[in-house]
Amino acid sequence: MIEALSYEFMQNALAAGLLAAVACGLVGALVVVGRMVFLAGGIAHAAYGGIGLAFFTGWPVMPCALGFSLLASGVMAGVTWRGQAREDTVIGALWAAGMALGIILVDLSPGFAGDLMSWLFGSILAVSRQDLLFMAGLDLLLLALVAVFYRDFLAFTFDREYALTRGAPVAFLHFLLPAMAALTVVMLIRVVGLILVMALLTIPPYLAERHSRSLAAMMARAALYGALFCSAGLLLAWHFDLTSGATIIAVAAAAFLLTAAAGRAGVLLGCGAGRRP
Amino acid sequence: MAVEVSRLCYALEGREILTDVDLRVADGDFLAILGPNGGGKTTLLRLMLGLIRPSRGEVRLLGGPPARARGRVGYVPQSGARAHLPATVCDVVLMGLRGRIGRSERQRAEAALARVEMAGLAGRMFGSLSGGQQQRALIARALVHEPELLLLDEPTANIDPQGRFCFYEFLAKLAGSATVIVVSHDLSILGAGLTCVATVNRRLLSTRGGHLAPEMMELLFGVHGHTCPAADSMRLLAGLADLRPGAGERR
Repeated sequence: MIEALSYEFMQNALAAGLLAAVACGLVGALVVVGRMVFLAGGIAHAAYGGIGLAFFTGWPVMPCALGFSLLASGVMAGVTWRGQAREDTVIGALWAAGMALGIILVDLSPGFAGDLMSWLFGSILAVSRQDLLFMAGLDLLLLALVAVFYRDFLAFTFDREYALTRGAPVAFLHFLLPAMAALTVVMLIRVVGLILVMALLTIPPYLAERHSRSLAAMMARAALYGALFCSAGLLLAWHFDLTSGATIIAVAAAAFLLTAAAGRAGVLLGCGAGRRP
Repeated sequence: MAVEVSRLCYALEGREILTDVDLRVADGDFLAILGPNGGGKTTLLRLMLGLIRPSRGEVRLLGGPPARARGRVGYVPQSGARAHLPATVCDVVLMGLRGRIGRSERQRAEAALARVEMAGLAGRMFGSLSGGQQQRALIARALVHEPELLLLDEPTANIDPQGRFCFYEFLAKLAGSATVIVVSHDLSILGAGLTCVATVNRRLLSTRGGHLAPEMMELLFGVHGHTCPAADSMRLLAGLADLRPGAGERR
């Protein structure tokens, strides 16, 4: 295992996993406690439209995916702001529309779209130094946003209407949080791919929520779990010659299932295992 | 005057929810606004808070427009809180304060918890509390900035019938230090020492004292109320407070 880390591409991959884990912890926690998982899924899949656009035009994929995700997050937040349209229906429609546009644009693209699979299922082993700088920059931005708006996010995710009466910038946060989810999704696409991104965004925060006494602790713990899943998944993928993105998610899913089973066993034994006091 | 509502109308998608509502609530009053589901109770409260704009008419809170008075108003919304959020009771109460949180703010939160008889529970996880305790914690959150006016929307929705009487007694005690307005469809609040009561079902009628005048019962149960067995039960419950014809003095 140690030998694996002597290669530069593995060092980059591990660094990418750790940087992605920070974003997962920060934004994933807000997405999970704010019950916005479906919205984040919609943004992730709408990003496929950006990937298709990049293939069609020959533009760089990451900025296209980022622009498309931010656009999708803005549209979803705008449509759902007043609650006049059914949130789940709008998100579902945009989810499918983004995917459909991406597929059509890839179909119309000249040449062979062989690289497409790496965006769908991740290509953490191909992460460059430039990608790492991009990811580190996004992490810093997310950290700054969470630090500045932490108490507002806490009030916003707990009780939006009350937060409004106390002067919290609810409208701003309503648009900011999906935009942060869009940034995180684009970062994670490089690590685990568009198809698997939701697992890494939701499983670590879900596991962290069970033992955390504050939102900040939940974010830190989720980042730690994400880092563990990425590291373990990466090393297992190396050892067994498996697809790294899928292996990372398999490790996270195994932890999720084991925790759920332990919780169930605790309930059956009457000791309420797994929940904080 | 804590609240002045004049000729207030609110319509949504062409349907009138509230029509020509007039209401005046004096400082220190303990008012219950009763009404059936869909009668416009919560809409009236949201109009008072300035969360939605009226189609016509005016709301003045503590002598000014609602948006300007929000800092002096405590609000307990109708079960909108996400109990699964990892937050202690103290964290939840501190949501009632803006700005930096230091030792003095934490002391204020503990004092607010003591007012709702929850001293010592500041470190407990909010999600581990019972429905009644959660409601008290949310009231502490509304009280932490020492509001002059407290608005509560269906505060007993998660509290069992036995617990409701204790809860209403507790609200009556609070009314000594602030104006309290409770929106509810639970007629048992009539026995809670109200100083005034209003019924709303698109229109609004109000009276001094904790009793319902016959026309207010009519407004609550509609034209079929006289022949509805359920309405008879509710009328009996309301009569426990005072249902003598003409007992209420129309305002």
